[in-house]
Amino acid sequence: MAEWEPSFLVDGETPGATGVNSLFANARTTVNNLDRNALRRGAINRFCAPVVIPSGNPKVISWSGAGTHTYSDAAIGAAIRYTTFGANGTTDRTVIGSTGTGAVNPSDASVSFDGTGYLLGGNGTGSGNVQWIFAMFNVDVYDIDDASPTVQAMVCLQYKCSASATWQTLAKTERFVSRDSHRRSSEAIWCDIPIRTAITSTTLTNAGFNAATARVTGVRAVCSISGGTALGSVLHLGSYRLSAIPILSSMTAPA
Amino acid sequence: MGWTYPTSVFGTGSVLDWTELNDQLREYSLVIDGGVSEHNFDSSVSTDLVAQDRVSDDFAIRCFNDAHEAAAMTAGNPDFLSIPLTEQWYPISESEMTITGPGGELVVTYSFQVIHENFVDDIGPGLQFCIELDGSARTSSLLGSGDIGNERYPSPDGTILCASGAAIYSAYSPHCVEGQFTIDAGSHTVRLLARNPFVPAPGTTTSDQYVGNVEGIAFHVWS
Repeated sequence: MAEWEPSFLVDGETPGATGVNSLFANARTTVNNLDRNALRRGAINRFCAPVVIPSGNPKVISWSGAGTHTYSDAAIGAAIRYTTFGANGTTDRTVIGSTGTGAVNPSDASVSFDGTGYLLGGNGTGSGNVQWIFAMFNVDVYDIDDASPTVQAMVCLQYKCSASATWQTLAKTERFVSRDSHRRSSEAIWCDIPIRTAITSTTLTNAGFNAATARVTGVRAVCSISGGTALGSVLHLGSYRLSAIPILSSMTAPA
Repeated sequence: MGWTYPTSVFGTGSVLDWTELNDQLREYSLVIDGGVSEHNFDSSVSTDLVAQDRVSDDFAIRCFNDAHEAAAMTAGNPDFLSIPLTEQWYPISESEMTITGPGGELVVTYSFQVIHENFVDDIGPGLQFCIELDGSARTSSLLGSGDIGNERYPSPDGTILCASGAAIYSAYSPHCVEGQFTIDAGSHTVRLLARNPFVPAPGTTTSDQYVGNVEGIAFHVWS
């Protein structure tokens, strides 16, 4: 973009009122455009984007310490038997945490953002606009009580947005741990399930939401039991940790 | 700003001095050419004018993401990639990410599911994983001990045989592979690699092993 330069008068030129007025109008228009953000190249001086993690509620962590919590198939209001890949809500899965029973009863593996949540894929200049949310989760699978050797524990993440009352499953985060092939003794599995995922505006769009208006208000972890003996399994989970970090920096996804 | 522009008011009969007029025009152009601060912007400023990488004078960050969601959680699902029985590193093609930037530090994480549905204890190979950067396997990100032998030993209660630690060896297991690298300015390619360090003896059979639901996230930071 060329720098603006006025049409200077030259020696000997006889400008008429129209020509001079045109010069003034050009300059006035330029200044007005500047005020309306039509900037010249080089006008931005040391302007920095907002911080990577917004203030107020920059990151949310939910965790539980030692001890185990159990999920008895058919004991938490409804059976937690895995049936459908990517199923939303709690039709075939249950929230990790307080819904479990056991010697240690932790809080839910669930984080909620302050205010009205976040719009994703934004330019970061408005309140509550971020680019994406970085979610990390880890839970220890202590054991699965089931006579069948093929039973598995399932864990995945879900997010909540303002456009729906149902928690949305991130199918790409569904993870399974098989019982028999992990056992190091007759009593325990002791296998961790780590998950890393990005929640972006494309995530919302693919789920059928308008990413320009649907605000992400929370993230949580859910579990279920797959295969094995129906209504006869008990899943034992150990400690867990869930982090959900809203990030303002640019995010590039493949075409 | 030159809100009093022009400084001289011309009336009827005024003698227009071209030098004086040019001086006023030049002064005006100097005022509007640069020197604008963030206070000149309102909340509707276009994203094209705002740097989305630089966080402060000495820190910038750019993120990359690639996720390939499977259609179902089954080994035969074509969305799950079969890992060949070879001791060579095998790229998970769906995991490829292209990183561009001015150079600095790159932190990469891959989260994925491994399926070996017809798993039979004591028969069959295991898997190791690491991150490939620009065609080179970076063993600093190795998941697995690196032991090629992949031997078995009895579990403490003797009920099953356990791998010696070389590889992932189970029916269903989830994993993360992470690494940090220093990169130069330009374009770089990262991928998730898998390797079978144990190839069964001739005459034995083993089922395929699969990797799926792979998601890669990369953070490129620089100052």
